[in-house]
Formats: sequence, C-alpha cells, structure tokens
Amino acid sequence: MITVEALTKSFGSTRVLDGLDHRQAAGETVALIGPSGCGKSTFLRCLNQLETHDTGRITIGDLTLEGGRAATTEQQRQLRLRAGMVFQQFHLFPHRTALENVMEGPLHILREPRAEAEARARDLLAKVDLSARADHLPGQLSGGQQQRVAIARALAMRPQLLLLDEPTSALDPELRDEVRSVLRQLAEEGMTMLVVTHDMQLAREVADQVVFLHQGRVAESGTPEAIFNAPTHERTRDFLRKVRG
Amino acid sequence: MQIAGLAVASGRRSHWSFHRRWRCLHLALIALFSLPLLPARADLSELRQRGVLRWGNDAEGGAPYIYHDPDHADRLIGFEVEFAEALAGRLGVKSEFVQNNWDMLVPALGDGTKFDVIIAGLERSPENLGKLAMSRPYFIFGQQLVVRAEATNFTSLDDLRGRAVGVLSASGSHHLVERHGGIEAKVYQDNVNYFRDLEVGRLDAVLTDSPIAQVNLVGNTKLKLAGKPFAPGYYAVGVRREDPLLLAKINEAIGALIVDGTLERIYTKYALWSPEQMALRDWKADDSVIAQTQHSALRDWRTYLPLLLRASVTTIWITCAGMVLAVVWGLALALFRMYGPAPVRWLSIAYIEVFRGTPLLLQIYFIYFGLAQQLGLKLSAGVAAVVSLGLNYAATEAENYRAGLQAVPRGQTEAALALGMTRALAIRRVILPQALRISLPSVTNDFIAMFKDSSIVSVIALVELTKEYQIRAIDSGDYIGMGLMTAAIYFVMSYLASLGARQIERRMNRDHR
Repeated sequence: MITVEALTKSFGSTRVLDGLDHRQAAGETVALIGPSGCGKSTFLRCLNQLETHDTGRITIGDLTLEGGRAATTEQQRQLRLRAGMVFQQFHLFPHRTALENVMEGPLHILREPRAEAEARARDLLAKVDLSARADHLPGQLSGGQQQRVAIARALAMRPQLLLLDEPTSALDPELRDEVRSVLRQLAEEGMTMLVVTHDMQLAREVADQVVFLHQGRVAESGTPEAIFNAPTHERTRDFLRKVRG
Repeated sequence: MQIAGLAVASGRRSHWSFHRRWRCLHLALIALFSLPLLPARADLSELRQRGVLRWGNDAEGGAPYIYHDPDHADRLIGFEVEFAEALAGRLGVKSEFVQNNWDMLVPALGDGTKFDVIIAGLERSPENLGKLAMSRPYFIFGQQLVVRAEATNFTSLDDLRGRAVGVLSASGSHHLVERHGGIEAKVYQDNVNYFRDLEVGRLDAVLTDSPIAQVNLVGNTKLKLAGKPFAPGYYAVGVRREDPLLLAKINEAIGALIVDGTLERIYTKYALWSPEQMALRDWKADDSVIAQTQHSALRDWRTYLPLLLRASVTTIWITCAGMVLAVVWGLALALFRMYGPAPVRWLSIAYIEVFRGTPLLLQIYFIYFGLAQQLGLKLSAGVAAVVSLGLNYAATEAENYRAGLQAVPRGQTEAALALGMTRALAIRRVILPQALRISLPSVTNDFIAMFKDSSIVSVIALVELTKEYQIRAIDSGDYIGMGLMTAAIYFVMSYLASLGARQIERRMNRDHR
C-alpha cells in the first residue's frame, strides 16, 4: 500500500528526514511517535506533498513520486486524492457549515451530483455522530466536534489512505475520547491510516504497528505491546519515560 | 489692542501664572486678528501708503487677458496685465498680480485681505453689481459662437437647441445659455479646454467672450467663428462696496486712460482694438437694473434644492459605477499580484504604485483630454469620470484585497490543497470568500470616500453636486445657505451608503461565527 524508500528532506542546512524507510500494508494502522523535531510531521506532510521531498521515493497505491526532480502539480494532486489529511488544528472552512465542509470535495473536486454528495455527507456525519450538527458553522462546534467533521471531510473523498497529524493534540483531554473512538471504528473497518501522535492511548488503541522515529529515521518499530512494554532502543525508552511523566 | 495686552501683563502679581496664561492667550488673539486686519483696509490712503495696487485674476485665464509670455515662461503678459499696470500708474502706485481661481474671485475679494480689486474680465452685469461695486468699463465685448470649421448650420443660439454648448463656469455666456433654455450647457473651469472638446467633437459649439474667441482661433483651422458677436457686455474693475473713494479714483483713472489713448494702444497691441471700443468714452452708467439684494439661498430652497438633487444623481451614478469598476478590476489586480506569474505580478505592482502614487486629477485629465488628443479616443465626460475613478480606486481596492488574502490562515490553503483542490479552485472556493469578508469594511469605507472624491470630476465639464453648488453659490452669492443644503445632501448620501454597507457586512458575517 505505502512504500517509502530512503526519503530525505532538509530545511536549509537542517536535515529533517535522513533516509527514512517505511512500509505499510492496506488496512493497517500505523502510529508514528517520537520526540518533537524527529521529523514525523514533515514525513506525513511529504506523503501528501504539502512538503516536497529532496530524494527518495514515495509510492502510494499505483502512484510513485521520485524525489530530486520536481513532481508536477497534477502528480501532487493525484497523490493527495489517494491520501486524505487530517490536521492538528482541524482547518475546517469557517464560512461553510459542517455539511458543506464535508460536501465541498465531492461536489467541486469529484464533481458528484449534489444529491449524491449530500446523502453521502450526511452518512459520514452520522458515522462520526454529528448528524445533529450538520448545519452548524465550525465556530459553533467544540474542538472534538470540529475534528470529527474534519475526519468526515477527508473520508468523503474516498481516500485509499488517511494521514492524521496529531489529531487529538489540540483537544482538551475530555474531548479526546470522541475522536479516538471514531478512529478506532475506522481501524476496525479496515481503513489504512498513518497517525502522527503524542497521544499514547490513541496509539495503543488504534495502531497495529507503532513506529518510533529518531533524527529523521525509523529507530524502532513493532506492535504496540512490543514497543510500549519492551522497547529495545535506548531512545525509545527515554521518550516513553518522558511522555508517561 | 497691544495696550490691552500690556495692561494685563502688568496686572497683579498674585496668580501670576494665571495672568501669564491669560496674557499669552491675549497676545495670540491679537496676532490672530491683526494678521488679516492690518492689510485689510484697502482704502485709498492705505493703498497709497503701501504703494501697491493688488489686483486679483487667474493666470489660467489665458490669452489675451493674462498668460505666460511664450518667450519668458515666468513673465505674465496680456491686455489686462498691461491695463492693470497703466491703471496703477495713474493711481501713482505699483501693480501687483494676485493669483486666484477665476470663479472664486468675487468671494475672495471679501474684505480686501488678498487683493484690492478684481481685474479679470469681470462683466459689469446685474448679477455682479448685486455683489460688489464695479468701475466704469474698460473693455466692450460681445458673445461669440465658435463652431467646427465644417459646421454650416449653426449661426445663433436658436440653431443649437438640444446641442451641447461649452461655456465658462459662472460667466455671462453661462447665464445666457441657461436663460436661453433647451441647450445643454457644458460647464468648464477655464477658457482652453472647451475648444479642445469642440475640436474632438464632444461639443457642438462654444459660446464665449469675443476676445477669447478671436485669440484662440488664430491659426486654428479646425474651428471658426459663427455669426456676429451679440449681447454686448462690459468688463469693469471689481471694487469692494466699502471702498467708494477707491472706486471714484479708479473711474477717474480709466477715463483718463481712454482719453489719452493708452487703452487703444494696449488693445491694438493685442489685436483687440475695434471702433466699437470708442463707446467707452461716452459710457454712462445705467445701474437701474442692479440685481436683487442678497438674501439667504435657504429661503429659495424651492429653486435650488431640485437643482442640487439633480446634480447629486450624477454624483451617485458616477460613484456607483466607478466603485463597481474599482471592485472588479481591483480584485483582478490583487489576484494577479498574489498568484500571477512573475511578469504579470510586476505589471500589477507597477499599476498599483503608479495609480496610487499620482494625483487623481492628473489621471482624469490624462484619460479625458490626453486619450482624445493622442489616440482619438473620445470618452464622454461621464464615462471618463467613471473610468478615472474606477481605475484609481482599483489600486486601493487591490491593496485591500491583498490584505484580506494575506490574512486568511495558511492552514486554509493547506486544507484545500490536501483535499485535492487545484490552486485555482482553492483560491476560488476557500481563500477568496474568506478574504473578501476581511476586506469588506475597507472596501465599503472607500465607497463612502468616493462619494466625496467624485467631486473632482467637475474639471471635465461634468456638473455633479459640488460643481452645481459652486455655480449656484456664485449665482446666489450665498455660500453658506447653499453650502448647508449641499452638505446635507452629501451627508444623507454617505449615511445611506454606510447603512447599506453595514447591512451587507452583517449579512456576510452572519454565517461566519
């Protein structure tokens, strides 16, 4: 499903990704953890080309993007259509209702008929338990509700893969659960997901595999049990000690 | 007054700071009042003591009255310059020219602070005699029609029904055309531009004082005189009513200049002499027709208000059409500047800087006169006004939009792109709607400002509210009453516009938290 080979990315003289490799099968959910500055968010942003990688190769489904030579904007767009994105700060369109946010892509990018797009958008809002809020503007929703709308918006594009950049970090602790349970449900339904997170509970609940990133490379990976209970890498142990307080 | 100041200064020592403050105030008041007061008493003895006769005119008046010597650009010549010098010489003083807008000369004479007399082709008309004292005439002129060389059927005002005729604002010709009725009077601020507009076909004729017609047609093959001069009039020196002594001396001096042939010599030099001028010698005042005494224009609101309202329609449509152009073109400029390829971006920046960095007045002249002259692009005054205001304000609006576009968070663009939108779609569906809401208050502000800025288009013979005010204020002599009516109309327009703007803002923000 996803194959990433020898990915590098520098910002000025700082090398953020340093030969990162990653493989992920369809239907698998991977949690990407690591200290800040380890490159996990940059990695995620490379996967849907909000950042362009310097060298290496990204393959999602049947599409491969080589680093080094600039991908065309159309190639980038094709990659984004395959990999939906959910942001830490939601980034809902503030001038459109929850329903309109979810319909926006199908209607204007996929050019689906309005009735079809709306019916599906309502289904998706029901799925994230927000049917009652369909006509609310983002400003009238709580953070947890906004994030669930954002997930529905990404799903509306029928992506092969969902990228989630710290989906619970901006939420108050009591609101995180509603997002976690939506993601848990998606994982059970077989959605392929890559989640960057500091929320260890989320990683434990949804991930089939946990990947620990250090200095722009994969330092260690394994099942949640293996990583959380018996980390082999010194850095992983340090990190887990810190996040557990 | 100085003594009063000293008395206060030497007052009791206690509360000296109070006294000192009081004294400062006092001295300031003295300074304030004595500045305009000292030279104000332009009576004859004062004038003799000063040794200078200050005469008001507008150097834009042009040949043959007053104009810059083609050989020495900084020297003014013209028959009125020489007449003023001769007159001052007779009075035993020097002559000093004071520049003033022609159509504001009468009010500017006021209390004689700026200048002592007006020598500026001012007609000895009942209207003018209602406002100030006038000397015996120093020049006899007629009204002269000027038409394009190929025109054959225009020889009198009667032939010009329904046609556009150019006249000088508040001049005798202006009154004549208005009184004649059925003719579309196009009002100009100077004696040059209506000939241009006649040449390019915006006017069918110009009605003007015969000396202006004669001089401007020298060497001009495109225009010709039509018919004989008619409605004779007299140029006379305008003097304050409070100055009867000066008036008498000036009358005496003019009489002498006629008898000793000085006037004939001057007028011959400027090719203005004709036997008809001999009538100056035996001229007798017939002031039985002096116009009504002045009273407040507010009392005549039934006459003036409809005129002002009619003119405000022009203001409204120019402003609205100009703003539509500015809003649309400004948006295009902002998008070019933000998202266009490099050359388009540079062009857009250049456009914005040039239009913001040069006066609107200059742009109007350029678009109205410049394009007609150089490219034969004859925009009507209305279109030229809308285009000028629109193009000028577009630069400002573009910057408003740019501010709005930049204020939309980066995350919005990323979310739109991540969803799979092309950049163009992201701008159209996500960025622009939010940016427009942000820039809306600045844009509506500019709309209200344009109501007032639109008055500048009166320079291209478009009578909008401010110009109508000027014309009627001069007619009625009541600048305050007419000003109050005009200000009220402006206020109502601006207030309604801002109410409307607030309504739109509210509606747009309703679905935005």
